[in-house]
Amino acid sequence: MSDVVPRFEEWLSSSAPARRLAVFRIITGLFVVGYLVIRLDAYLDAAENGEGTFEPVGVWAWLDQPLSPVVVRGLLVATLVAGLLYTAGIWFRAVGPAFALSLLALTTYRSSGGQILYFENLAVLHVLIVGCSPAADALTPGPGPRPGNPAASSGDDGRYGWPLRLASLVTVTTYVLAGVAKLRLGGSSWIDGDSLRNHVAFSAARLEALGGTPSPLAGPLSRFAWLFTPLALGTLAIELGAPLALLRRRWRTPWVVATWLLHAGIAATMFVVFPYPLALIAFAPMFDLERLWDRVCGDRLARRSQAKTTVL
Amino acid sequence: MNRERARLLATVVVLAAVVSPVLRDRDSFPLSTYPVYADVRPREATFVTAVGIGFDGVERRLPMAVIARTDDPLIADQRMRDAVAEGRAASICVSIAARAPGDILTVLVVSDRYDVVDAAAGRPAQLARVIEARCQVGR
Repeated sequence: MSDVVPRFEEWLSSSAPARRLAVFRIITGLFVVGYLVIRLDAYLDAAENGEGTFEPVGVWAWLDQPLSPVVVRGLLVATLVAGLLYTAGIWFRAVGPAFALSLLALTTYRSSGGQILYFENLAVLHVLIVGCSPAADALTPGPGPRPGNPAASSGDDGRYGWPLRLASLVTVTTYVLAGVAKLRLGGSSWIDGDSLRNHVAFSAARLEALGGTPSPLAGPLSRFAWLFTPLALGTLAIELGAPLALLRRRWRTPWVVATWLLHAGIAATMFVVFPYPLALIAFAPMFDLERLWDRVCGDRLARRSQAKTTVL
Repeated sequence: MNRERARLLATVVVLAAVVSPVLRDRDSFPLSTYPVYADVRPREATFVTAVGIGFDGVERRLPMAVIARTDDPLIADQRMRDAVAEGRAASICVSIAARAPGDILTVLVVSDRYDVVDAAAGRPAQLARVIEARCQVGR
């Protein structure tokens, strides 16, 4: 037992290549910028706050009234620009924290419209971690680490491993909290599956009532009440068992696959999409991302270089 | 303090922050209790929504964008509930009427009670209706 803290400390600070953290920077940046562009209408609508109530939360909890739409639109533009620079790793020491804070401000403002939205929490927490880390010591435009910055290197180091470990811990903690919430708020009624079936049916009925199109799977599925007990137990096992993904390497991929299937099932039956885990980025810090990068980009670079040689 | 110890401390602080909403029993953003789909959902539910009545007197569903200027059912649901709870049913009815399609004569803001399992299965499911506001589409 006395071993636990030193071993945890060692695990937290285990070395990783600078490129692993840099790849996580790039994929979180691409995801967030893409997400903001795709959901631009929703963010512009949040800026107007036309027919909604205003219930500020988080960093905006101190506000008495909504911000001017001009300010929110300006924040949206600034976040998009900072997101592009963050992704590219340009001026990262200033841009990393600036992007993280502007994203926090923007998404929190959108969740201040009377309904907290749960699709963006983890992406924001990850960007806050990456934005305050040395995530631009590799894979940036230019010749590589500046000679004037001896701390920057492309080699393995604990300072590149720790942000990824922390991001992984935050991921599994959020899933455990979701499981705890089900036990705390739902208890045995959640476990027996009735509540889960009613949630699926409720989502479909609500969409229908509010002029949307519900999932065609919700109706047929809700007829099989017995199916929801194992589904509820499976959901709880995935959420409460999340720390297993970090305890043993061989449990990591099965847990990620199971969690992805859970989100895919939610999307298919309830039309409720959690894009960050569905795009697998929520789980990315658990993996050796530089290998994926080498496989995707290394092959392309090698082919390009081969083509140049052939032309010459 | 060495670097490893500093990282450990920072990790504890971050994780404590992530867990803190549960300890304080207070949901927020981005630190949350993650209560989504965690509560006990009864089989019966009331939805506050809007429907249109056409020139032929037949009731028609209105698109979500017309009802609440959004494509997100969570936001639409909250906006309609808030409007009725805060006594703004009449004013939101007028706003919806201004966005209603050309074949709609009247807009009703309603609280409809359903058996959600029957509704999802396509069986008759409406248990009750309260009309919160009624307004004409002015053209």
